[in-house]
Amino acid sequence: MRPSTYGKNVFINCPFDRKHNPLFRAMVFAVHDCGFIARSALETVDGGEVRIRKIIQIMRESRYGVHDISRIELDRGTRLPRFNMPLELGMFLGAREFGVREQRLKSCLILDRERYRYQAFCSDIAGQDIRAHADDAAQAIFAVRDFLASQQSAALLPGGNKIARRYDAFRAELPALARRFHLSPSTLTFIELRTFVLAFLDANPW
Amino acid sequence: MKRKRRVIQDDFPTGDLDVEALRRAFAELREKRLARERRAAAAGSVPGPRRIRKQETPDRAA
Repeated sequence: MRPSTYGKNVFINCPFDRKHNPLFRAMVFAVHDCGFIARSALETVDGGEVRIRKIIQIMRESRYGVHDISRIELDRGTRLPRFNMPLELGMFLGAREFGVREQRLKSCLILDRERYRYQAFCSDIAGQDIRAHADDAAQAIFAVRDFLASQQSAALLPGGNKIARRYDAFRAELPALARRFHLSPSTLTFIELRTFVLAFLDANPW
Repeated sequence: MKRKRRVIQDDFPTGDLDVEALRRAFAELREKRLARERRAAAAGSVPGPRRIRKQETPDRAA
């Protein structure tokens, strides 16, 4: 990734599981429809790279962050919660606080299922931009769109409803097209998904 | 009305996929979709896009 894209990169920090996948895909689409670039720990598959180093590098290259901390339930198998998302949110906020000048420009959106639920499990993040998605892809799109629209002064972005309708069209057309390219629509890698989004947006300008 | 410049392909890696072929395929689908909408409008009913639904799938560890 070229360093010059720092101001366009949006690091998406969220659970990587089937339940959350519809929200993740919707957020990736919304980021790109707003003219930014979605970044994720899923974009590299180098098994030799230590995961946290990979995440730090992507975070360093991203001015913006979308952190979904909604997954606080106990894991069914281990009966323990997952802490990766709050950890990465903390790293992002730390980079903004202690980083060099470019890193201090960082800005992030925090998403939870309910608007004020974080006060019960992570109250120290009060004062940040926190929105609820209610486990609904359209709500996630609205939140991402509004966050990114507030980051750029000169550009006018389409409304959240418009982006959500465009995402509906993308979702409807993705399965057939993925199969045409000998891919399974449900198991696309992050890079593949991002490339399909890019192609759709090129073919469907605002 | 000002529009932000679209992210271009060169800004990030796209794997082994042929972006131009994908773009053409999506463009074909777009033409078909628009034709369907025109036919539906002419017939008096405009089909709306499918609403995004919550996915009810089994939970899995993050």
